[in-house]
Amino acid sequence: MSLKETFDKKRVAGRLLGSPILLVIIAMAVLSAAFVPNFATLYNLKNLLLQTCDLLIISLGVTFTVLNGGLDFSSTSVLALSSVVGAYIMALSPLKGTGLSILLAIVVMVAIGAAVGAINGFSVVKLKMPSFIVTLSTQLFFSGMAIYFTSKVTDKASIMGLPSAFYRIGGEKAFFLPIVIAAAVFLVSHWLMTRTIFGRHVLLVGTNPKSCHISGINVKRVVFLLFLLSGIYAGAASVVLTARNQAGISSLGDKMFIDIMSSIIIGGTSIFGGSGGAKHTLYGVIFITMLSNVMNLLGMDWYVLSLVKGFIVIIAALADILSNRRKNYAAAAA
Amino acid sequence: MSSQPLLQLDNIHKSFYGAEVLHGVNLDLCPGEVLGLVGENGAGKSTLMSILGGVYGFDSGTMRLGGEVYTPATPNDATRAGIAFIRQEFSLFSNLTVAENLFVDRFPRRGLSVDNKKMEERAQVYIDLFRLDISPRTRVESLPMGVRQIVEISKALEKDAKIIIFDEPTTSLSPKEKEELFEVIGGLKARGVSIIYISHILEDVMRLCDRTTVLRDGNSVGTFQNSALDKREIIRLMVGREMNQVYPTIEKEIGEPIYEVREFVRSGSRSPVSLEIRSGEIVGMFGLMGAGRTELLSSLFGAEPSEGGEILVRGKALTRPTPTRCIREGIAYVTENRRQEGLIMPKTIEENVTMVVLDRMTGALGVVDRSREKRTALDLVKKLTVKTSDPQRQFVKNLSGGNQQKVVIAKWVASEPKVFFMDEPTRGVDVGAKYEIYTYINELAREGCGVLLVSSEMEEVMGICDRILVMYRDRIVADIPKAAFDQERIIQYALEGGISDAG
Repeated sequence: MSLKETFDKKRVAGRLLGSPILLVIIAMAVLSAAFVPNFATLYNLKNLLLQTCDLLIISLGVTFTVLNGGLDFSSTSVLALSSVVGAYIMALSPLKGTGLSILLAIVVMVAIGAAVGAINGFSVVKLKMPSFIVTLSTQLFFSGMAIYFTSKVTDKASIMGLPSAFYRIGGEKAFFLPIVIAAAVFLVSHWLMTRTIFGRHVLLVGTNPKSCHISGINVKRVVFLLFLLSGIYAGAASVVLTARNQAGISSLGDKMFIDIMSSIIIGGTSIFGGSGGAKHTLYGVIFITMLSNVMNLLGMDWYVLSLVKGFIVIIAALADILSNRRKNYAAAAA
Repeated sequence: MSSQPLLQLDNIHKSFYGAEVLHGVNLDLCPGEVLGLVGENGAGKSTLMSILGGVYGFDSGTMRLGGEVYTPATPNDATRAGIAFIRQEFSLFSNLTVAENLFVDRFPRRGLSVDNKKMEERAQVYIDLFRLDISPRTRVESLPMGVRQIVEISKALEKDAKIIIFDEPTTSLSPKEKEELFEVIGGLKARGVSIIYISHILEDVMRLCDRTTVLRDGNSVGTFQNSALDKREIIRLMVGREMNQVYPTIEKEIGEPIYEVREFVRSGSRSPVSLEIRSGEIVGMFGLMGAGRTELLSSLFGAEPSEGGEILVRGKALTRPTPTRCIREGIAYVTENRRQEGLIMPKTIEENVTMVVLDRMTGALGVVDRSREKRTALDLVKKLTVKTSDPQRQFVKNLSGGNQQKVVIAKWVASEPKVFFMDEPTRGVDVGAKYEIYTYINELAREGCGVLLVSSEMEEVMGICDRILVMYRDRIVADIPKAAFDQERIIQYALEGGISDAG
């Protein structure tokens, strides 16, 4: 698609109408700017943008597993474990405070994600366990491990005193850095899902693995890679979040999973697998983050926010289920 | 039998998605009668029984039960009207006891709890009636097949069944169990229960039934007193159709063997199979439902596991087949079930057509060459005359059966195969598309492809194949060249695994 086509008026209009969530986001932004006090301030918008980036990276990873009709609970435990191990390397290990420690920490944090992802992938593909059970177990196990690790290396609740250069990744004195990272992760994900053979296989395998197997697609490899990627993304998200919080925290992201799944479902990636993608998750993440932000500014209690989110997610899931049912009927009648 | 029929089906018509499968079927069943129902695969037996059982509706005609109009809307209506089915696969819950199974859909209650005592008393009545040596508390999973079937029959009687329909009841029974079943059926008859007995084993039908109704291609050929029939006569009635469809012919050359299988054993079968296909040859594989044709094809392609054997593709050994390896060696596999296995229904024509060869159109970093993909899809859609305005936008689920099947063939043609497995490639396809598919299969053969075509339509295999293999219980029992094609011979191999002269 050429640039000219991309910005063609009709196409833009069609795309807006084709994804109602975009319209909702725009409407919400305009209304909030007009009526919600302190919404359109530089401070708030900056905050909003940073929160969007954090949620986006990790949600994109989980999106891969949802595209296969599964999910990945364990991503939040990767946030925590990577955070405390990375912080340990930078603040408490013999290398502490050096540039090398930062580099090593980042590599290890992402590698932890890859390892957890590989365990999940192996269990789903080779042991044929449902991803729900596998990732629920790994979530429990690795978040427990994060707390245990923290208790062994420090007597405080979190690991502080990281090198200040590391904080830049979180946005300190370099506001654009996390945004650039999130944008890069998004673009790579979008490219991966829409342009490459891997992405195409993901959508096909997520719809009908049996047919894919007979057509010579290595279904097991695809599914394994999805979980591996989800883990790697969670590791990367942990790097950004740990830098933002300027500490290794063993409870990092423990309330995030609901927002991750809400974003993915509201964005329109089907919980049955096979349709959706990075762009959908981007919209969902913007929506959820903005909703939380606006309700916060309006001074609403957290339980009201929870009520509203719950309601919206069930509506989005219902829409998905109904359209899937229609699809199946159409298929059965064809 | 002169008494008023208990069940009367008159001129029943039924279509699926525009294709008529029953063209006015008649059947009548008298009280206390055992009526045989025979016909080839696809003759309409199952459809007719599903209509009787309230699974499908029917388009026109009348059904009368005990003189009153009978139009079951659900299987429950059929049960309430006193019609019960005993199928090949039992509907029992193997983890429950005999007594529980008899009452599983309406447990007797005593207060808030289930009345176990009453269930067991009732179960004991049937155990005594059929002289079984079991307790009402025996779990069904520990019972042999024959006894399970009697439990199933007891369940029907407990629901006051007046008509019991047996659909291939002897498939999983030992010879001794079969004798016992026939005794039970005799007993049912004596109690005034009417029975419809569906089977491919004509000897059994001859022996057990009073009359036999023959179906052929969705028509009832007639109902005959068994005393006036012999087996040959039934076979003649089952297959005695005119070859009325025109099959395209083509000049082609049959060359060297390109696909050879020696002593191949699929998992779950103990019979080794050998076969060969030559280039340019269309080999038909005929057999009854359950003869093991689909399973053989599927394991030859590696989609299902196999135990061993030798496969040579163009002289080169193919050990431990997997779909990926088979595709690399130039084998294609059009599966029987296009909705679940052949296609990805909610995706576009283009996505479906290119899925087998997508890895051949990718450049650096695994990026798909979209323009090449689009070109390939357009070419194939044109080549196979798939009716669509836009292969990039139209979803496969919105295509007709014939066009869907063309998409399945197109996706395999894309991989330029040398050996083509096709399992029921024209099932659920309209006549026009059928002809086009036959023409295309011929075209493939002319270009040197070897085709192995599984079909349950006798006319089809006789019409387009150069040779017919007949399968019977996982074995290939006949290899018949075109010059020796003969409907009665082929069906006899398929029914009995051999030719016997006894009538």
